[in-house]
Amino acid sequence: MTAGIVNPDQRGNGAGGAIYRFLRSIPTWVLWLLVVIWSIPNIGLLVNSVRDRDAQLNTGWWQIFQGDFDNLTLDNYREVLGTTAAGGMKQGLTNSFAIALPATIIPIAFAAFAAYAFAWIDFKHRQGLFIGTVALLAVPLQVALIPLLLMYVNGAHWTIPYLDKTITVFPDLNLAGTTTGIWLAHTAFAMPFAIFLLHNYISSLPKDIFESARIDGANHFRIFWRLVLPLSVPVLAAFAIFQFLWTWNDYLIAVTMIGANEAVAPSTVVIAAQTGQFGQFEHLLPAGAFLQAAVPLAVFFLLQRFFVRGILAGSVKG
Amino acid sequence: MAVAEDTAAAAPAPPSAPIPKRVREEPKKSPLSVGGIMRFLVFAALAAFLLYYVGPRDIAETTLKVALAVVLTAAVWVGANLLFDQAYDHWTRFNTIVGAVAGFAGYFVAEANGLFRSLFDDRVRISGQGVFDDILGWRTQPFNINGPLWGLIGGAALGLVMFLLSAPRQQLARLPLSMVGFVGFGFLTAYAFAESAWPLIDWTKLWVCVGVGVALFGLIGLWRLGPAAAPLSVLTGAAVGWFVGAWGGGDIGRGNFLGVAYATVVPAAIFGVRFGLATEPDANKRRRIEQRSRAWIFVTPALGFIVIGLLGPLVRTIYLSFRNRNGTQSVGWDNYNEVFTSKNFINYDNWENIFTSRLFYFALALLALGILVGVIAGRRTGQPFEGGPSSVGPFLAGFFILSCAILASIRGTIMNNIWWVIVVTTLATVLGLAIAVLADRARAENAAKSLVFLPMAISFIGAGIIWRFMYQARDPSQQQTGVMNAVWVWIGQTTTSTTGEVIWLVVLSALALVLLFLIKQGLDTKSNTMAGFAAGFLVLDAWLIYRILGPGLGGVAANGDPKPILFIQEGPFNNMWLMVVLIWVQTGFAMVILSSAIKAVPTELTEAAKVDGATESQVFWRITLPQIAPTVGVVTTALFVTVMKVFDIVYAMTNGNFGTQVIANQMWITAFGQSNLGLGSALAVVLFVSVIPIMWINIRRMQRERA
Repeated sequence: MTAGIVNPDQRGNGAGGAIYRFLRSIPTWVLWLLVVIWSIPNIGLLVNSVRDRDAQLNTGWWQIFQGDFDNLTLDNYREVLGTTAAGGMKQGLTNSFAIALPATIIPIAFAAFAAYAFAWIDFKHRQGLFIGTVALLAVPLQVALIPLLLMYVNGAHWTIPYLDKTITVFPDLNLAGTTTGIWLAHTAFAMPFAIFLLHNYISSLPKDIFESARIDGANHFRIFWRLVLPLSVPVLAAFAIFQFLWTWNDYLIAVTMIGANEAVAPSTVVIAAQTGQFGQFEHLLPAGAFLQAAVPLAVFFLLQRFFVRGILAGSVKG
Repeated sequence: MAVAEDTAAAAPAPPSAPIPKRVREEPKKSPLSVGGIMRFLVFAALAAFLLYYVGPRDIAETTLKVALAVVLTAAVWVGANLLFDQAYDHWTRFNTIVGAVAGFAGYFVAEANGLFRSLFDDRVRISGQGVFDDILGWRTQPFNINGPLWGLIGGAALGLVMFLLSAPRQQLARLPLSMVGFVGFGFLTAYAFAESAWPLIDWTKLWVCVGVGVALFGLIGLWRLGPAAAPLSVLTGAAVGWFVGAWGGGDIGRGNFLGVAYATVVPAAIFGVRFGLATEPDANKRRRIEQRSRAWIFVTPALGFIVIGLLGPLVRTIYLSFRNRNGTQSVGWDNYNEVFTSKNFINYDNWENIFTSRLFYFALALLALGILVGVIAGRRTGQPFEGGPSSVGPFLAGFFILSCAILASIRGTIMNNIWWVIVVTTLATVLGLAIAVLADRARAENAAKSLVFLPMAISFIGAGIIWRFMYQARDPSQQQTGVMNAVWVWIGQTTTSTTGEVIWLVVLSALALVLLFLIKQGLDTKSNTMAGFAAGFLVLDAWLIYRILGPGLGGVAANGDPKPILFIQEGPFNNMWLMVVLIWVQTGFAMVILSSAIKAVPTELTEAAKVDGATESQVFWRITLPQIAPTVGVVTTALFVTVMKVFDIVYAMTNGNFGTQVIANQMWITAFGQSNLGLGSALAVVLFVSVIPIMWINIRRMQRERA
């Protein structure tokens, strides 16, 4: 933080001026040094993913800057996507889509209704329920994992104390080891954040439009459908991107819920499994990791504006 | 690359977008802009990739499933809304539909649970079956028609009852009509039950349940609705209590037809009386019903997900944490005892090491320096302790290093988590703030911020893998392929060769001269910050010179061989190297939020200070920093929660080996690897308890904003 440490009146000509200009440029140099440091790991991964096995195992990836282009190849990608390689990245990517798409679309709908109700419909316990929902933002999802898995495997049952009858609270739907089970869990976990984010936006819409719509005889359903949804597109997009990246990149929920069923493993679980078998397939790891990151990176670069907006609006999220 | 463009418009977090979304005009975009073409290309590439590699079948199946789920939920939801649209203007129609839906759902669910007698034993093949079999790999099955059929019967019957109840306008007609309707419905239900479901009624339990129901509903009715409505509540309580007592207390499958008649007709008759006595709601009440139910229609799906997926499991986790490894027996506080006494979780054995570590004394020196500077500077301004960057800076740095020194000696899973929280939260916030300040108004600000922000888009698992390659250590006889060790060994090799040593010393001495000049400059201009920072770097520089002249610097052994560091395996500081990964990811997060906060500081303030002769560093420490302090709070609390539950990075890099275990990973291994649900739940509860203060802070913040 040496930014502008010299008083403007110290500015002079000759040697003093040169030193002053040098000092002024230090912050920029520091900034770009940090940027380069931040980028090195990414560049290393990308370069290594297109080098052949021997090159990866025996030399550093920076050899490429010394004009060593002989061992560049796309075989790693071919192998990772091919059916023969361990891991099955192709299936992993499909599964990731099968999880991330529903886990993005479905919470948006539910959360938008709830956010509208919390913002503009007057009902009992509104404040309490909303504050309670927001409080759940910080809850680590680890606390829900064990019962959720039990629920997926056996359903949830409760024995009524005095009557001694067991009733089924949640039926056994065979959700363990399915992508459906994973995106349902994501939907539940995303709900507090989604409600919070959308509520922030929807509650800041001007009151007049609601009042005039009410006077014209529109009910809440129509107001929500015709007014709120079209006006909320920016924040819906922000949440969608946030949620897509989060579910695509999630490992914990996926690995817990799929159990032994590797056929539904998403891409994060696939590359994590590959790290476990260092050795034979080590050279495929950079390509696999890069493929796994390619989709979120594409989303990131295309829709960064919305992503940033989501982060800014929802920064109390845990 | 739109970070700044957007953040410039945004208020400090958490902001909400007001309706005039953009003050300035959105520039008209030509359809053939570079960005547009790029976007199109990326999307096309993505689509091509999907079609070519993934194949249409999986995609079709997924799309179909999602579409089906969306359409079904949308239909239910829109249907509920349309239904309650009727409540005000068409009370009878509304009641009839409610009755029909409730009857259908009740009968359908009862049939699905095998409680009802079978109307058709054969399964039915509907026309068109088999058409889609080959397309999606689904095999359509012959259809059991009993469920829908019973559903229709029940729906029609209850719909009729409700129609009879709400159609007549005379209050006198209500009671007999209601009685006839409900008792008839009770008999139909009694007939519907299969012999295997007939209950043998336990009268003691039944009367106890009726008593509980009457007391409960009566009291609630008295409290919520007043004495006028209490008799109706009592009747409802009696009916519900009777129903629960008859079915819950009875021995199902042992009874005769009389039993099932008692169990269904009596509560139906009580309901008949209850609805018959109730008056038709007036317009005001109908309006209220419409309003309230609408709110609940909007809120229930989301809250349902929260209750089933988050709140219910949370309660059950707490319950399981007091039970044994498979949840069959209560074990009291044993699981928590294990968490807080086991050497794996907290290990004080080597606490004396604190006093032999150099870090500890360095930290003490820094703390002393901070206090000294503060006191000296305070004498000038007449305060006991002058809080400024040059006194608070060393003090905080000393505190930070002190905690690292202590946590490197007191080991264990919980201590690791504390260490993670301190290091990652502090460094990610400080680095994010530094980058936000440095990039503010710099050239190519957006590009720089985008590159720092980019790791946010990468999964923690991916980040772990990326850094495994960075940290890779190979046999000293071979070339290092990990960046960190390559640099380390390179430093070691250059400092041991004579020419290399000379070059290093010349460079470092030159740096020392520059720093000395800066200190002088700082003292001349009374800029404590500059002098302090320069002095700090001078100490570092001197230490590097000492290392090169004395014990040597870099990855090289005494005999000149390369000596790489085992970043991941060598404890306890391997923990720090894992933390670097999370810092790498989260700095972008802190930077984005803090950057937007800095841009939201009113320029009048900073300009006024500059006019009054404040230096830029004074403007930062005295104006910008206090202005963005609340946002710094938001960032640290968010980071705290993220760090507390860190799992993926540790899992991918060490899986908790080499003394790097953290609570989340330990919890996962305990619960799902060793199938010890009790201990795993206890660890999850520890995580939960650790974030309760943050929950409290969030709630307070929320209440302030809504007030």
